[in-house]
Amino acid sequence: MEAIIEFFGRLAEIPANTWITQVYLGLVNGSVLILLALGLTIIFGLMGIVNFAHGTFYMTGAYLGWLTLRLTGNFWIALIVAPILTGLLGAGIELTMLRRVYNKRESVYLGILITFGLSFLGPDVMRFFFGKTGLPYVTPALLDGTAFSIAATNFSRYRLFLIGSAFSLILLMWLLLKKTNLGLIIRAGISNSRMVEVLGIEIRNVWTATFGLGTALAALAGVLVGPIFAVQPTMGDMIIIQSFIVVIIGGLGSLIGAVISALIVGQVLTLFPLLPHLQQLADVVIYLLMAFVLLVRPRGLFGEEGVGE
Amino acid sequence: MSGSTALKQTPNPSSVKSLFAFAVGLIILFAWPLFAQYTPIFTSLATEIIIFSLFGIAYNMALGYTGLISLGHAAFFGFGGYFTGAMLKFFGLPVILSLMLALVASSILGVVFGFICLRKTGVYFTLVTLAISQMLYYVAQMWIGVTGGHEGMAGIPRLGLGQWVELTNNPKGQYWFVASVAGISVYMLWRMVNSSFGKVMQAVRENEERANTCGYNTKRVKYVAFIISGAFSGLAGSLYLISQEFFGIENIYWTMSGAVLIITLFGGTEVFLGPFVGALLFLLMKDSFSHYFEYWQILTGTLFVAVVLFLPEGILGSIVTFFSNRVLRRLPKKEA
Repeated sequence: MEAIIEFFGRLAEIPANTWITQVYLGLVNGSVLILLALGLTIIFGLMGIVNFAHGTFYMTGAYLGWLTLRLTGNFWIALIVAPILTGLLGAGIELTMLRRVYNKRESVYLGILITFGLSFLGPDVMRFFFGKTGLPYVTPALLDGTAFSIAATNFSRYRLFLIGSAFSLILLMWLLLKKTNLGLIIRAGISNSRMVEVLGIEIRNVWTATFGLGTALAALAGVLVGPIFAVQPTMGDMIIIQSFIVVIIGGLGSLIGAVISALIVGQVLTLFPLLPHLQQLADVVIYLLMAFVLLVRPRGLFGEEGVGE
Repeated sequence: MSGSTALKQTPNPSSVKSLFAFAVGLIILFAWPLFAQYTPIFTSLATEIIIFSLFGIAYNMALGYTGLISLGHAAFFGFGGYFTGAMLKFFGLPVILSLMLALVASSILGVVFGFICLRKTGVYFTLVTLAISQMLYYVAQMWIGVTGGHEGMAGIPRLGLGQWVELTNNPKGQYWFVASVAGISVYMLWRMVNSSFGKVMQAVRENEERANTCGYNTKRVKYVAFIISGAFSGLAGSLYLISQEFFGIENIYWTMSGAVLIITLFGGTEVFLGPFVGALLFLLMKDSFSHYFEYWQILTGTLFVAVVLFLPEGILGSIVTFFSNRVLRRLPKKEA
């Protein structure tokens, strides 16, 4: 009992602006995770492929962004060029490699293996071209500095921009999926791709486009985090596991699940280290959260029956 | 699935030819340190190859024979290593006893791990094994008192088998010790694969529903296969600690699960000794290529993707298929 009182006592001692800062940073984490998880979950829902190379595309995006920034000196060009190039790379990989395995008996597993192989070689490719150490990004002048302050907490402009971009992209994705023909086909393909094919739609082209789109989103996340985190060859290794957890908690193939669970995981990652005595568990807690969610809801928060089983 | 039924199944039609091949293989295996210095595979590298062959063969119990794609076997490998290290370092137990305890402890880990993960099937299973093993990685990272955290586990006392054989700073002694333990383990796994239980495992891989309809408790089959796979993966980790006299935290990181997956698929999942070929290739690339080309993962990764795309049976698997096809092609001619 005393321990509990002490726990809450120490919790109450944490100043309000610390909480606000952490929630804000958690929102930044969550936004990055949303961008990654959306791509992962759409690719999985449509093609049944667990894309282990997603972290590699995220890293590729960050490096290509750095390169574009270096060549043109303009962050905005980098923000557009890098995702497009990475998306094309993703589409190319889908066309040349993944497409070969769809018809085979265990396409899910072959997909995991191929993308896993890509994630194995990815970091060394970047080390080969860009060196082993991390590369700094320059924050664009327009987004440098503090946007506003609440209760002695500074909200950096760039992070606000990052959150804003992530949410605009969610909106765009939602419009794409709900209001366009392509979105209709993607949604139909997620629920039954064979049927879509029977209706005379060339679903394979949709697969390529979707894979490209998903990898472009990951690359965009990579460019966006550039000015905040260091760009380094192993940056994809860590975040890919977190994104998987997000997707598992949200339910494989569910878009709304990916968004909500990314926000939850983002908050847990930044708020947990504040708790007295429990800071040490901060790295483990998202795994515990995942285990708990799977015990209560075996298919994740919004997963549907039969997907991925 | 009792022992007696397992014994009825003799491994291989033991012709004189295969017995001869087996004997030659065994002699080469044990004589290797004597001429290792004339080959690119030095004794220490050969020790590592044997350990990772055992790891791969144990992993293949789950992957190839039962069809469970686990990305959590780093947890077993790492746990086995840390556990043995703790037994040697803090309790001062003899090497053999530590290994046996590690085997038991890894089985218990398999019981817990399998209980959680095998509630899931398909992709969920793979992702949950990955997540749980990552959790153990963070536990290892925090528990610095035992594991040494990022510094790795060092300070393993001088090891030996009684007063006769010195293991510390003795690559040949380590090699023979590791080869003996791994040899016995691989033989046990070989018997298991060829037992009636092994046949049921393969039936589960081919078609779980049908095996279930045949009256087999497929869930239990998968559970047992997973535990055995984990136990021997843990033993491989123990041997790795003993041969390295050190245990780094990267051994429990998820990339280790990836490495064993690559090793197993390189060789081929449908041939028992496939992972041996895989380990040979993987470690040769890692050790030899990296002298000439630092970024060896590019080559290994490319080769891995190529193997998955073009040789889905793996390298040894494809060789076996190639030769058995040739034999089959020749057979009808004789009959005709």
